[in-house]
Amino acid sequence: MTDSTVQEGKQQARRTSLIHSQPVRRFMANRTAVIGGVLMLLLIAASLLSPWLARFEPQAVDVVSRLKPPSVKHWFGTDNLGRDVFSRTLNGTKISIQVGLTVALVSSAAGLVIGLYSAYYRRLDQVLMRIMDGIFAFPAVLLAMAMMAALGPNVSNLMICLSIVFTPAVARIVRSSALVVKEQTYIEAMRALGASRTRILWLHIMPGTLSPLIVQGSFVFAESIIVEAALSFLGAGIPAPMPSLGNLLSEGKQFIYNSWWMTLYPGFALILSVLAMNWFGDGLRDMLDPHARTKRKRSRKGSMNKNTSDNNNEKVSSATQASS
Amino acid sequence: MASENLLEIKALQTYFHTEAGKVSAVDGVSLAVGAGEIVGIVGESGCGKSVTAQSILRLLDEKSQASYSGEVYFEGVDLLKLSQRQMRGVRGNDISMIFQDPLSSLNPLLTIGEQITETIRSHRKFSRKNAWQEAVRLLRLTGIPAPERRVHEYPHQLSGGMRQRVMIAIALACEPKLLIADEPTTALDVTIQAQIMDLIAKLNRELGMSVLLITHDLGVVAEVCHRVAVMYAGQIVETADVATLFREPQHPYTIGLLQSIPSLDRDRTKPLQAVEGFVPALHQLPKGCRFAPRCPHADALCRTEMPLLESKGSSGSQARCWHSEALSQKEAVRHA
Amino acid sequence: MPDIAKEQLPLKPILEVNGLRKYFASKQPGSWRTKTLKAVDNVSFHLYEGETYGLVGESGCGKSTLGRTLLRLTEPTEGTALYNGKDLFSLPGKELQASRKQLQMVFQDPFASLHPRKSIGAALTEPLIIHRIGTPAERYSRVLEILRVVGLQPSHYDRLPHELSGGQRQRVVLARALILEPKLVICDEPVSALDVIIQAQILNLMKQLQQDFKLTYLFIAHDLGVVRHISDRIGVMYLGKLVEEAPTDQLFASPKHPYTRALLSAVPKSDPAGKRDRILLEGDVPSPLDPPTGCTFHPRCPLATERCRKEIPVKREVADRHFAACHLA
Repeated sequence: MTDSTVQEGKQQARRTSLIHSQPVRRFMANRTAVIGGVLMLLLIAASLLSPWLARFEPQAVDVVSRLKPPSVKHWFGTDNLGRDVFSRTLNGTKISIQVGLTVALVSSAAGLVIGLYSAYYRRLDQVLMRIMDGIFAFPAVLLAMAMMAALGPNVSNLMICLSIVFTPAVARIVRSSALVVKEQTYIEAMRALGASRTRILWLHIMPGTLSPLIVQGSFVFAESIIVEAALSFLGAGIPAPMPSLGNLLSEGKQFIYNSWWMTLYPGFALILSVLAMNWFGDGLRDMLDPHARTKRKRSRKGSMNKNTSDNNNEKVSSATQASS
Repeated sequence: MASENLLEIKALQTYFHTEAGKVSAVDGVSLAVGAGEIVGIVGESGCGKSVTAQSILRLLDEKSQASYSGEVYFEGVDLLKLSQRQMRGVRGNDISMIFQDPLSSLNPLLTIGEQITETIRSHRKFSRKNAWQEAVRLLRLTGIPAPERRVHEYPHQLSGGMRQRVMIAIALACEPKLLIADEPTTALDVTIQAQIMDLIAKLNRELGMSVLLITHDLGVVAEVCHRVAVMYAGQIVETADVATLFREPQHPYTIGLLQSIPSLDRDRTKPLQAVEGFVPALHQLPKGCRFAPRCPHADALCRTEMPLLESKGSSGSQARCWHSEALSQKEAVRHA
Repeated sequence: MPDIAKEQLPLKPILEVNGLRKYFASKQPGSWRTKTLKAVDNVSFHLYEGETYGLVGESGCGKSTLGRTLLRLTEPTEGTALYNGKDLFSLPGKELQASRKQLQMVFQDPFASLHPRKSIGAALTEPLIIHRIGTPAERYSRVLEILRVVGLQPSHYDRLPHELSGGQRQRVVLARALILEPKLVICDEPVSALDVIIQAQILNLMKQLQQDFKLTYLFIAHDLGVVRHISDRIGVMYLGKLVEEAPTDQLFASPKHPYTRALLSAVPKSDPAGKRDRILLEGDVPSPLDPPTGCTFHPRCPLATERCRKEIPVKREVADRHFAACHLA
């Protein structure tokens, strides 16, 4: 018996090494997720390397060569002030990613704390979640615009506003998964052992909420890039001379009939980064929460003997578990 | 012989294709259920008893891409050779099945009357009105009080025992010749379990319906079954009629199983005799007898050669053990 | 508790539960009103040092709620529980945490009572960290020791719960409860999720541990065979009330309450030849939201009289150390 258990242990160790672990394999098998991840990495690399990649200062005006179509010198053409669209798009992407990342991190952190505590303390729940509901009731863009109007347009204010706007969504998700974990017997077992509330909350409940949190965070990332672009486009976001993607689109709008390149390339960059993040998020969800996906597949497969199907599935999965 | 038996399983193998390779969850099971007989299959979880039952109705085909070999004759027809369409005609018609958890087997959005009449009308030519009357009759047959009222209720309004009765009523809807009951009382309390087992015995007596009862509880087997098969790691290790199995168990696993029950009539000051270790995983089964690693009597022969299911003793029981004769003699000497 | 018990058992009660009630407010579907669900209704009993007190009853009878209330995993509605002279129900937070070192609990489902992502070693070290016991090295050796005690290998230290079988997991749960060296362990259906052979292994282990660690068990279960095997005294619960209490052998030899009799007769005998006279109970357990008047058992009781329908029976001593709450006992 001991021999076989040792062997089993070794197998297990091999299986749990990171690259071959179940979740990672599941992620790699999902093609769109991998494409999304790779795209995201490329975009981040490009924006980090923008000072070297771009051959022109994004703000450098060159009136002589204004509104030039794409060429070898200016890959994406130039705008109405002769600025290089390629450098500006690269820079815009960089700003978008900065905003997206910051907002995703801040709202995840805030949402995690709020969600956890409101799941655990019922009284606090009443207060916190009502506030969250209040924020949630406004359309994201509208609320962000109102707050930007109050705070004044600059990048850090924009990050603050967007973080506030996106926190409720995260808090809700964390709260609902924390509520599920909270009812588990092992949490009750920890209480029976005499563990303090803080300890139970952060050491035992929190890890169970991490995977939905990460997934939601990735969607917040994508969403805040869109909202940032929308706000800048409307003039309520990042102040004008800064080359954010929204600003580029807004500037290009006036010249769209003659100089399509001014809108096309920044628009493309926007679509690409949001799409990449969404694909990546989808992949993450499948990787961290395999049940959601199998359920979807199962329900698609209408079965004849519906009464028995659930039962069988359970039994079969337990049989295969027992044998694997 | 074959003509007498309603169901005859011959050398059934059920394979699953898992990441660890092809494993056989049921390995060469042969079993017969005669007309009007209650046959029990007992064993621990993972021994293959449920898979055997589900293989008979081929419920595993689609979900887990199980493959089979061997033969399962039902009234002389090999079920394993039927097409999926023909199989659907058998399920619910000639053979019905009830499961452990009645709540998940019932549709929460339909009244129980609607669920029973649906089954009746899909298998037999009944008018809507007659089907309702039939549903009430079936519910009364299963001992549900005030069935005229109950037909209009939803599953969540019923208790666990009542739900299991409804499941039995649905199973009876098409007057099956064989009822497969997969752990029908495991989720129920003892007093309710007693009611359900009584009901199954009564239906068997009065309707002459054969029952294949899958359970982990030897007590339940002793209550209602005529014959028993004990399964271990995908194989039948012993079959006998109930009285013989409890009086003269042949296989060390059966003996271990019987001795580990804290029954009401044993001396409670003595510790229970528990077999050491646990059931081997299907993909790393031992060579030779599958019970050998846990068996107190195992020797070199047991570890290398797989014993066959052979007749032992005088009372017609069969066991898969090299040493059962010697063991039962030893046992007899100890008692004498 | 009368004096007779104390004379025969020279031990002192380690836990005295008096008049324990636990009510839940239950919202009615489609109505604004709430109903009171009396999960535990005026239960009193004593636990003596070193004994095993079995609590049996069908699902929904309140036996699990009773166990959880004693550890204040839910707050009681009324009553006292004196543990070594201190009322557990009025302990302030700090002392309550400290008391949990001596009162431990083992849960039914070995799959759910371990954190799925924490290794066995981490799960067993946790109680020591919570109560600030020992240095990391001492904790490690203590965990290895307790693993050995419950029959596991040191190699299990780094395993995750899903890599273990049900029986092994329940051993881990036992180890986690015992590592703090408690006096009283409340076992809530500790073996009912296990196969019969594994169940026998765990029962034997629990008996062994009781001797080695001088434990007192409150053993909650629905399986009468299991309870009979392990308990010294047994209490039978029905709809939140303790209807009968007696030393094990006496309870099985001469049950006084009709419910106990029916319960005993419903247990399948593992001897097909043996004659049994079954008392088949009619119907189901009534909803605890709408308990019957008088004796709560009267609608199912074959012996019920007019008095049973009106008057609530009081628990009284019907034989030596044998209590029943029945007018007819």
